Amino acid sequence: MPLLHMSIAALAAILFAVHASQPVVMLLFMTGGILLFKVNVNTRMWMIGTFFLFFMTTSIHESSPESAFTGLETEWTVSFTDDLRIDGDWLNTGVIEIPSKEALRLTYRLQSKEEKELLNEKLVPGFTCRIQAEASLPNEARNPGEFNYRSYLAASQTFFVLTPKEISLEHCVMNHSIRYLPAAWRVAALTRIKENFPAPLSFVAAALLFGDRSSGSEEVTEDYERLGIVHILSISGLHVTLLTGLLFYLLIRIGITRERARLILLAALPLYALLAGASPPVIRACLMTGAILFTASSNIKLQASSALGAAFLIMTLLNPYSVFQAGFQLSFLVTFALVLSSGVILKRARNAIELSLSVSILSQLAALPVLLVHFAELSIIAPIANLLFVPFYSLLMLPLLLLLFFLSFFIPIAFFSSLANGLLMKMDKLAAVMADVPFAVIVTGQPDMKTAVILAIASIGSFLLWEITKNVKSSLFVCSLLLSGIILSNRYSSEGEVTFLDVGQGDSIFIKLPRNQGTYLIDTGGRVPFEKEEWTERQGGFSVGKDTIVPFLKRKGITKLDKLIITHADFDHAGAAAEVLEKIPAKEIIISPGSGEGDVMSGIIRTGIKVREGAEGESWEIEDAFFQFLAPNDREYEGNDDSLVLYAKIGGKTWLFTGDLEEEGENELMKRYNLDIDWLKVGHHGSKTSSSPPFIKAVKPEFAVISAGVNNRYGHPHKEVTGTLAKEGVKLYRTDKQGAITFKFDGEKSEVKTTIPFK
Amino acid sequence: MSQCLLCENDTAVQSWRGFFGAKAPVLCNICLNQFEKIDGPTCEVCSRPMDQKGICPDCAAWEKNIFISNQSLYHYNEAMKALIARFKYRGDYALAEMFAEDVRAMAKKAACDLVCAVPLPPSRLAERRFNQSEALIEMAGLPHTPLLARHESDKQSKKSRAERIEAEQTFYPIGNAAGKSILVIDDIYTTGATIRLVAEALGQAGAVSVKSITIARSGS
Repeated sequence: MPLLHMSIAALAAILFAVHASQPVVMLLFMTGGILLFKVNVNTRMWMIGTFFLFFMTTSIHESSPESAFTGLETEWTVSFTDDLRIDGDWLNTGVIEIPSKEALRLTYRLQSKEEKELLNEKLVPGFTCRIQAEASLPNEARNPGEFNYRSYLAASQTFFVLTPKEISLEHCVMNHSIRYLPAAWRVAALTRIKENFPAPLSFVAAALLFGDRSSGSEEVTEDYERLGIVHILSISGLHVTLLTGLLFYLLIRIGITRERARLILLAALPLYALLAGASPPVIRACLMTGAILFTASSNIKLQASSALGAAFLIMTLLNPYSVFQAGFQLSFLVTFALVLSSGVILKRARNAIELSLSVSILSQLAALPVLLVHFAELSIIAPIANLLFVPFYSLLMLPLLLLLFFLSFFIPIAFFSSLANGLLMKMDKLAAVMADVPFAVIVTGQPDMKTAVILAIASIGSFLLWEITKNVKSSLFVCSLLLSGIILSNRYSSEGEVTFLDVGQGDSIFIKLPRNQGTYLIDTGGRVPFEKEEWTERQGGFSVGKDTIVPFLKRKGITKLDKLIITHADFDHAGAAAEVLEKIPAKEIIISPGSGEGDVMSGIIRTGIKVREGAEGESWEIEDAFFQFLAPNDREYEGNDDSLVLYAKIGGKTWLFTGDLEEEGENELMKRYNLDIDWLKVGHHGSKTSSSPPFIKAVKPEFAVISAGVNNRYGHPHKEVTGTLAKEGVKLYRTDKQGAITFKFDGEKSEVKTTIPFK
Repeated sequence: MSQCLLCENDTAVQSWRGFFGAKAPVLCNICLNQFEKIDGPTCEVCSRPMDQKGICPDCAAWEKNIFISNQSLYHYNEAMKALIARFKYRGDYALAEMFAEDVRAMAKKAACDLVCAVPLPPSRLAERRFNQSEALIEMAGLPHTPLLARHESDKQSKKSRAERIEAEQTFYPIGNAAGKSILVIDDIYTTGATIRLVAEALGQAGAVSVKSITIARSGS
């Protein structure tokens, strides 16, 4: 299997050339070194050659300019691709700039229901438009460990997002080039599915047959994620093998010779890859199947391991950055583990159930480091769930849907599809029940790169152990021991932190005391809900609670908060609380006296968690940390000035968290307390109604944090406030500029980190 | 790519150890499965498969000698017959590799001072171009000490059981093995006549004990 060894050399070269995270590069060099030492001379030469080849190609990629554009252009000619998505009033799609052939994203807010219908019909792959649009950089991660859309797009060589003010059809033409045919077929097929299959069967059909997962319901997807079976909805090697096998059989049945059938399949594979959306796992599976088919006619028989190596080398030679895509990583890692286990470990399985369990455990172990880094949690129930759902989807749903799809061209299939739909809904219900089983999922927290590499070594070691000892128990034992070690050392770490999360326009501050002494969240951010017309409603649109705060807390390994403090009953402070509490409960919720009546609080009350009012004077102490509420001192809630104000000593610094306290409240505070603080959470997002110069002078902060949304409509922070702070020599951090701001401390040491570096 | 020594199919096993440089087996699984390893109870002296442990009547009948015991790897079934014919008579020297690891392990367990081959008469060596017994020792990576030579004689395999047992000594010592224990490695053990003659000749060279390892154990 020199091709597989060469892939390791190629990966080491790519990561080295792009200056990837050091522990990962070390891991690859170590593995490569061991292999070099162990393999025969021939393979050794091939590995060394591959290393230099890939180091060169990647370095060329690195040094050539990323994009043909500066980002200042305003006139664009773009062609639409098959990656078209209209969701609510939002068009989000991939386009190709015509002269340069460079891929770009395009987002556009639809102005009316009529325009939505018109574009829905008109926009097809190959549709080419001249548009006026501003180009901007894709969003980068704004909170620690968050999904980074900018690097995600960069991995597929996309660097700009276009936001046109309008798309006028007069400036568009249809390009009927053959190049756009597969994409057009794909869109047509997806439309056919939507029209002929009832939901949710249509989602599954779109996913299993054409690799389109954009329309699935959020609850079901979440259940599948918890069960660790979400992979069956993405087209994988299993699908491609089943489909080619099916087609091969049919071709032979209708009297075509094996040789010719093989040629037909070879021609069909690239077409299928395009029809299925050409995601990394699809390309990988098609390349592997193609390589095996291609060599099947000659006298060399290509082993799966070599086919995997060939697929890796081809894909990374064309685009070395694809190794940074999660889909690519998971697809290759899992296939790698399965291929290397196919000769010994999987041979030992005595029946289908054992085989399926082994495959599922293998996949989980192989994907472990990548899963934890991306999702910070691990599905324990996955092996059992896979045992049930993989056969259901692969052996029943896939052939059935394929058959129904073809039949739909000739006869009405409503009866059959509704039967299948009923069955699917039963399975989804079962998934929902299983997903709610306690301990189905454990939150592990996001490991740092060093820990992830240790996990990777452990998972390779556990495979070797499994192979040698003929017993999975010892490997599972090693891995679970390591995993619990990671979870515990994370929870009881001597490190503490205060993080001002970037929740857009709003506040949310996370406090973690060292050695599991306490985890607090002050406010949750949120948005004012407003009535929307039906056509504008998006499916599972962004929401700060489930998309920012919950994932952040999970990455920190937190499953329960000790305290949730809601400073006052405004949507930008409490709006997302119910959403957060649904996933991560709190032992208690502390609110401002009298503020429990508002609309925004009803969701919190409904969670059934103990809610109590905090008031001036209440204080608590945990080892070196000290907390005390300084306001409000009456029991009547009158808005911003009745924000719960929290004074704290954390990590050797003094802090003042003011909520939306305004000038009047500040004056009251100055009257009652003589404060000298290090860190000030600036009141009311930097509005000029707060942070009066006398107040800033009185509390003498060294650092200040303003939590405000990028280009928010209130114009926060006001320049009066930033001016006051500058005049007093206060070092200012802003979430709209630096993203989340984290103060980390460990004993006497401390450091401040911003998610987006200072410009 | 590594090919099966018998059928030339690819033998590389897709395994974790294989990925980390473990050598591919020399035979593919299909070919390997034709051969039956000897397991279960055997005669403590000659390795003949038996219903329970003990000493078989043959061995009990042999007169005492410095020969201690023989260990065999495989049953002499049809596939093994064909394999040994291919190895010995048709000169497929490389086949000795498939036994190398087992022979090495067994030799280590036998813990003898010297390893010696069963010599061929000069005319037979000229005919075959190699001594199968030496080939097995060499492939196993063991140091070979030539202690014996052999007069011209009839082929053992052409003789009947009775003729074998009555056979005259054709081996004679050419080296010094004073006070040493000797391990003899050969291809087949049938009646034990050859090995006992070898042991006798080794005794003349001064050896104190002789054990043997053979690839196959023929006879019931």
